[in-house]
Amino acid sequence: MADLQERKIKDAQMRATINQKLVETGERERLKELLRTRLIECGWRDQLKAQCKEIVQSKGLEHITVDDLVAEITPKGRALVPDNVKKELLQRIRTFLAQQSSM
Amino acid sequence: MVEADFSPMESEPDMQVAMDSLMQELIDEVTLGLCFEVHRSCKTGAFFVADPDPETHENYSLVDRPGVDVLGQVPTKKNFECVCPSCQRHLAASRFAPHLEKCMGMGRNSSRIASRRIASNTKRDSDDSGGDDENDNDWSYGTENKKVKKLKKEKGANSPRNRKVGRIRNGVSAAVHAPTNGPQSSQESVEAVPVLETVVPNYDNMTIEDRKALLLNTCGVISEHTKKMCTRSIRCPQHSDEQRRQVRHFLLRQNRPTPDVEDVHIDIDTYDDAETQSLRESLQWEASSNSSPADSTSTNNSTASTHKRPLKSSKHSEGSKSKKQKVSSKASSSSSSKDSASTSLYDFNS
Repeated sequence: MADLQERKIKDAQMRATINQKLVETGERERLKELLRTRLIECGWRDQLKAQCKEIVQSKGLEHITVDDLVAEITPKGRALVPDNVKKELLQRIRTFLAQQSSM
Repeated sequence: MVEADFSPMESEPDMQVAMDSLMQELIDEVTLGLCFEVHRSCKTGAFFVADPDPETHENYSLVDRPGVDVLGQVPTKKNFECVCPSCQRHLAASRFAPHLEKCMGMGRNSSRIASRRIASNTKRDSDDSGGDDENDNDWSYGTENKKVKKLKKEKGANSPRNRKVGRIRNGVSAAVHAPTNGPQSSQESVEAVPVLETVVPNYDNMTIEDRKALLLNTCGVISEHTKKMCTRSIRCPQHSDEQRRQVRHFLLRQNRPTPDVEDVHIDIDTYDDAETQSLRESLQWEASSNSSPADSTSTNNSTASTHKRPLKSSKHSEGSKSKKQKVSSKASSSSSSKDSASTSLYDFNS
């Protein structure tokens, strides 16, 4: 039990540290840009926009809110990301972490 | 805090989990950005602009036929009509700007025309001075305007543009349509009340004085097919002197009755006789001798010109106007100018 909690705490700490490192070096922004580019290239953005259109038409243009959109779109967005994009992103992160640890 | 060390001893699944969660975070952020963008376009009304409904697709679909542009319109030049704000006339778009220049009186050309008009008016006034002032004043007001109109008409008649057409226009339109004024500004013929002569169809809008003025400077021979006067110079090679003389005879004979009609207001008892007599004399002389010696006709005139202005030269006689000449408006001027004009009218070979 205590281990689980410890591990969770450790996990959280680790993530925080990683994030911090990413932000400090500016790698996070670069990763995000890369991700955006790749997603546009593969057509993910257009697919998702079509989904948005349906949602807006169903809900009505006047009554659409950001929360509605986010709640509906996020799971779909996660599912629609192609694997190669995910792999590339993971690769980049791993490389970064490897650099960090070696420093 | 303690720096977490990323030693290889770190368990791989933990690392993997961490990386996955990181990736998900990034993806979620991008998604959120897209949501914001869509929401904003919805609220600003731009969301459905990019892809219109099928109805508009049908209406505005691309046209690919030959001879027609993409929208399906035939590529002809549309003529746009404009309405002038000051004179309320309908004009073609291409003529709108020059018309406005003259209509509103702004721009180089219109000021030039206006100043020339003023100059010629003042010149005429100075010439007319010397005589009964009250009479002069009465007549000067009316005659000035008519002179101005006359001037415009003459210019309009002999401008380079109208020379080709050979048409004579009336009133203001003449000034408007004559871009460059010929050397007619020195012409001094009296007011221009348009007298419709029924006999000669092509001079409907011209007065007798106009014609005489024309005859002084232009060939004036009436062409058979167009019934118009030749506007070339006095030595135009197309027409012979005999033709010119005939034309002048023809016109002067028509003008005979008018002096009597017009001489209502002035004391021209003696004057009248004298000028008709001198005219007759000059014409007789011309008929008999069939030559146009300036000396003979000038001697003729000198007798009659006792109460008229001194005869400078045949051509410039109109420049010096006597009081009587002006007062009797059309009649006297016509008659007196007839004398000098007749000499110069027939003066082809000088």
